[in-house]
Amino acid sequence: MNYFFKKLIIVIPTLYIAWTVVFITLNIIPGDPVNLMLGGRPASDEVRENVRHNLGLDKPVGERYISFLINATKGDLGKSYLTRQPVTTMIKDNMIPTIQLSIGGLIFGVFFGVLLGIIAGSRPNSWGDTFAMVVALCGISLPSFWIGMLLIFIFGTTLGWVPIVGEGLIALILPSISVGLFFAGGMARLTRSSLIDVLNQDYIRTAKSKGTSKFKIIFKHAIRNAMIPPVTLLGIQFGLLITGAVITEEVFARPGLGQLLLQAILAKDIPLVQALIVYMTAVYIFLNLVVDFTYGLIDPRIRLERKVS
Amino acid sequence: MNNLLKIIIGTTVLFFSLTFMNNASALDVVFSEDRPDLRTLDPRITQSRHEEMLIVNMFDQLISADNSGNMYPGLAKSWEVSSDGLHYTFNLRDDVTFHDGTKFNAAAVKATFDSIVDPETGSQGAVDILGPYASSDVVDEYTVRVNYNRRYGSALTAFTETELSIVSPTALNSLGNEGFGMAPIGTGPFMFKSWEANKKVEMVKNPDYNWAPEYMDGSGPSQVDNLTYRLIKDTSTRVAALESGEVDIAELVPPLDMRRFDSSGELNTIAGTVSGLPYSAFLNTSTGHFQDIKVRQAFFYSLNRVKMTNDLFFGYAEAAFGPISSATPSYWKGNEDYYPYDVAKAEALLEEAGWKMGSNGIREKNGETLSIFFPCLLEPDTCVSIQGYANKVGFDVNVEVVMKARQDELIFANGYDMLVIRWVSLDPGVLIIPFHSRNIPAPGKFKFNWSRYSTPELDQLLEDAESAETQETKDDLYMQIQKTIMDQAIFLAIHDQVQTVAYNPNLEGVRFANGNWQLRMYDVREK
Amino acid sequence: MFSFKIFIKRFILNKGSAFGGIVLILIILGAIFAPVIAPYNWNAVDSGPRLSGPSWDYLFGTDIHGRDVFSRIIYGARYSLSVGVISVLFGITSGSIFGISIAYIGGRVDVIGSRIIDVMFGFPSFLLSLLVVAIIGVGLWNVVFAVGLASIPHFARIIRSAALQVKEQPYIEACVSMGFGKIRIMFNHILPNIIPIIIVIATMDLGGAIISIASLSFLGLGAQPPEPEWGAMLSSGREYMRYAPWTMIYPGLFLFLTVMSVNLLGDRLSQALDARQSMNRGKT
Repeated sequence: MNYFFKKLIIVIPTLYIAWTVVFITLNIIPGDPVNLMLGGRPASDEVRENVRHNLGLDKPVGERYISFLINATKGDLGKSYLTRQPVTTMIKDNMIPTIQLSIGGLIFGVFFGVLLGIIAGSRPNSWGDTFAMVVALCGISLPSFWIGMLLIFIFGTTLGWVPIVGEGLIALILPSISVGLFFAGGMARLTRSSLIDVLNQDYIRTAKSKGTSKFKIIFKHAIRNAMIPPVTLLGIQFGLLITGAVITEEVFARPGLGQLLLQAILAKDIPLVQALIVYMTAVYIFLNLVVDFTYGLIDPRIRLERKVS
Repeated sequence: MNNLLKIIIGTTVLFFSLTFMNNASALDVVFSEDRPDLRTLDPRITQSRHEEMLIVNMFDQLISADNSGNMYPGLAKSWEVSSDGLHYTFNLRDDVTFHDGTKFNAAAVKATFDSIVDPETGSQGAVDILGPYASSDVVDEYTVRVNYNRRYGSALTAFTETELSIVSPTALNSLGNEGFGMAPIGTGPFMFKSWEANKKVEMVKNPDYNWAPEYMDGSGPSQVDNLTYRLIKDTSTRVAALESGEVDIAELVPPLDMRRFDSSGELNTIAGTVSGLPYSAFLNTSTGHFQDIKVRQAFFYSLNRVKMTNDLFFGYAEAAFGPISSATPSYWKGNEDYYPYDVAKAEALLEEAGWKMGSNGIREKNGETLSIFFPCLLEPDTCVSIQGYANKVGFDVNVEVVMKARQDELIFANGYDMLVIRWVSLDPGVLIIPFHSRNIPAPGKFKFNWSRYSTPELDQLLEDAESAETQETKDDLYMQIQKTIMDQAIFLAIHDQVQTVAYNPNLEGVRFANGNWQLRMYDVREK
Repeated sequence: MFSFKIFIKRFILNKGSAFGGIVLILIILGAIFAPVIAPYNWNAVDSGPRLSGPSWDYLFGTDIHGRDVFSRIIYGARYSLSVGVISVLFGITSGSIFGISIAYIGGRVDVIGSRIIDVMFGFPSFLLSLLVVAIIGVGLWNVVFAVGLASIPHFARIIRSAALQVKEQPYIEACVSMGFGKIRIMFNHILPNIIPIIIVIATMDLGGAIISIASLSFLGLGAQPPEPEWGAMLSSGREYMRYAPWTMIYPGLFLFLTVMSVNLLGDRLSQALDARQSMNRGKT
């Protein structure tokens, strides 16, 4: 209980400090937000004062900071300069494709990565091991935008097997591979090394000497413990999925939060950039918390021991 | 076979054929947008040719022009111009209704134009096109008189522009400017149905539409029941959607794809040469190395515009020579004698100006290099071409590919040496927008005189041309204006704008609107 | 401790690192000798017919501007390699100074410093780079700075752990009792013991840095035309992918080969220098 509680306590200030960093960085950007809000439209001084007031820019920095934190907690972060819609609406509208992509990438990454890791780890130094590790190395070395374009070129343009546009599950296949390949590589390597460590443990040797089949050994006895390090990888990899979202949505021309963030940065739509980073940071921190909890649940040693940092 | 059976079979066949016909009446169009999304569908406010792509199908104008620029009665059956050129009286149709059921009448026209000049509305395009508007008078329910402060030669052309479409005053009152921009009400052949942000806009046909201009094939309501505009910014995705049949019509199809469709015939294509300002470069005369006219001229001589255009557009666009395209009225042929590709001339001018070739191929003078900052908003490949040619004579051109927000920032801060622009317009009067000194941008004031060139002489010419009384005077004045612009080397056309459209070969009736950029969908039908 | 013989056996004679090493050396040589190897000026428009396919004259074909892709790739090696290295150097130097300092000084400084690191970890590093670019603007060097900055917390955390371990060693205590100044101890005594770890994590991260910078250039936020940076080349090759796939295939291929060889070397290096010394294995 102590472990979980401690983790939770740390998360909240981390979140608020991160949000503070966002506020500071985005509010020191040169350029007049009023101009940006008006989209460069000509306007009388009165109209400009109105806009300035509506944006809350006539209040002192401290007050704006506090309202920012309050609004971020409430989930209301103003209106986009460009579309004049509430940014929360824009995030909601674009959330689902990104979540689909992330889950797709996660599923591919986990299954393919663990599979490769098991092939490699169950028979170290065999051809299977070398092959699987070469694939894993390729996975972490391939730029995701290149592999995405290659996939489009081969399977979409040339062979025509997969539609290039459209929503739905089929259109999710290529992007998921694109996003998940890097993740798969990391998973594969870690699963392999962790499996090798576990398979060298005494209790495994006992099972072997009792004549248990190799298959049973791996999947009944070894896996649970072997999966512990890869699970910790999940937390960090969520960051990669966000990265992947920005690039993959661009390559596959899919709608989503990544594409929205890129457009917002290029368009200097500060409220939207702010809202997206606030949201993504919160999700990232939260997901890491969940992973830490899971880690604590499946490996009792962690939550009972004092952590050496 | 007995008669009853014949009737049953006949009805069944008829029923099925009608079903197929009805299925074909949903039209899907893809369009592109430079910004993250459309901002408004209000013709009075819009500044985007992409927004106008949609707007043109939901609104009508007082005078309707076909894509050759010929004028036909639109919402106005006829019109008269007073001899002093200050009053335009329109006799309006009495059988037109807005999409919200309210009557179209002189009051609606007055309300529209008055709101355009009202700063509250925030008009960017329409207010400039309307010109020196003073007021409108409702003479009677279907007669309106538009009054000007001074003679405005471009007025009739202006009334054919999409930005001066007539909007429903009732809707303006109930929705407000912002709301109206999100759910517009006009008199056009299609009615706004829904807008899914960043994705698509849906329209349905206006069942009461009965006032199509003469140059249309049809009359009465359109044969297209549902018109959907999908936003796909990525070029290859747009083309892929068209090829896979997911959409029927696509704009801004790349030249190589157009060439492929033309040779295979799998899709129909139309390409329109757009009137207005060609894709051109502004040189900033107020700061940096382009303050020296010799340097500007040298820059222009270094560009091989004909080859550049052919190489990048594969025959789908032509090189351009004047500040206005050759398709625009009052175009001066003398433009074509200026700045032919001449590397020797360019180098000689730079030497004269004191710029000596340095060891790394870049010219230097007094310890400075001849560097040019070129934020590029449109057509990065063309910018790279320009960069390449200028580089050969010793310019160090730094290109930064930018989005509008960044370019706006640089414009306000006067932090650029050159910019590119293009503009759709039907009238040479557009020249006042980029060349009059009152249109020089300043922080908070976004205007289009990006070369920041200012002389009383050019200003006077532009103002006089705007209120020219006869076509001859107008032509003569615009000739002088074009000559000045070319002599001063502040603006160089590179290539004509061209709108490349490809569409489902089973369709016909796809036509360009005036200006050759937007498409009118009213006439579209199955072959 | 460290045995040179074992190092040779594990690292240099290993098949994987030999392959990676050869590929990387070839690419580095290509970058250094680019002016000699490249048949054409990488910026010369119309070196050849536009969008023409690979041939003896133009090994990797030409792009839309008629520029020789092979020459651009060779020169691009200079960009992609050097920016990766500089970004990692920046990150690791800052991270080392920060990590060693807070580890050694300890106490409240360490607590605050660790919290700062934790907070920066609250951002996925790519997001942090994007945020930095949003503030300082686009451009290749801005991206290098952004990616380097975003890598600092990762380096700082690892180095701090390593420094904490070294701090416990008896001879450090001996230095303290001999009255050596703090800075002297940190940089003359702690640092040298951490160098192997620093080298390992720097190499392991180099591949990621190269990809991150190329990604940001691909998105239009990094290298600007006409710089032949591989990520930017991929972005411009995209438009003509169907008609000239070589403009897309080769830049990506070389990115892949470079990163793969760097990763291979990093792997072998870390194994050779004894895995137990590098902390937090598996975390990126």
